Amino acid sequence: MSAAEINVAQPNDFTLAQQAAGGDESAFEAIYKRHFRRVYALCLRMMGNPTEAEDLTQETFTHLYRKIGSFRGESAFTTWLHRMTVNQVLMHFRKRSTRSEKTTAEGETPVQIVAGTQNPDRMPIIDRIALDKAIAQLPPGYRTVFMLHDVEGYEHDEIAQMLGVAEGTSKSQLHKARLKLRQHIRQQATLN
Amino acid sequence: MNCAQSVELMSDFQAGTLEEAEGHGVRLHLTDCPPCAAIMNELLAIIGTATLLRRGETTSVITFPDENVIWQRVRASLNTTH
Repeated sequence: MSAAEINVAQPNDFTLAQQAAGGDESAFEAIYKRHFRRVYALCLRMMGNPTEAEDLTQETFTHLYRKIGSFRGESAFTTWLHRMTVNQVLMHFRKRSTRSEKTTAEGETPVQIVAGTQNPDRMPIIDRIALDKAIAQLPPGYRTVFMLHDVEGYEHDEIAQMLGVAEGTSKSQLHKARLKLRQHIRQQATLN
Repeated sequence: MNCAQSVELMSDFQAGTLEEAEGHGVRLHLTDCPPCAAIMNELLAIIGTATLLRRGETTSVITFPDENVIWQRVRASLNTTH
């Protein structure tokens, strides 16, 4: 069977979701295999920790199984699952109750604007790989706000509501996160 | 406006949410201060690159765990939720 024929034979997400909602575990497994990497990558970026990302991936798919019957196909399945994953991560933060403590503590940390640079005039390469590495080094509070705003595209009022903080706090954390990222990227560039 | 004030306002400047006078002040400072202009450019590069990470478009530096191992964990948790 050719690759094209295999693609034709693959049911779409909506069909699989309906089958899974009806109790078809193999349909749910097909959904899992199709979206596992995307969900794990998002969890890892937001958590910055592989073990917690694995746990959250598991929790997200378990939650998905319970809620899959509510997917009506009005939006893309990937968009729906993406939002569900973000919500699972945020719920995890709330359960740990570490979010506000860490963001507040880090928010007070002064950011060295040009620290760690041997040649401040030279712009380091800022590509996806460098940024991914720098995001992993961010404190959790900064990482969450940066991921939600600059990567996921949420507005500050939405983030404030999700995290239970003031809109100004979200803005302030985002700005500090960007400066931290710049600092990490510059430090990484000097090591390479 | 000095360098510290300029850096402090860069994200608001980028978002276009500053009052006209403040925005003008930042713009003037960036014109006259190459180090601050470099910082602004790097922040813009970070913001631009971040959008490329959206929706899991890149998995370049991620080491994925064995999907079958995670699936077995998911499957076990499904059985307990039935």
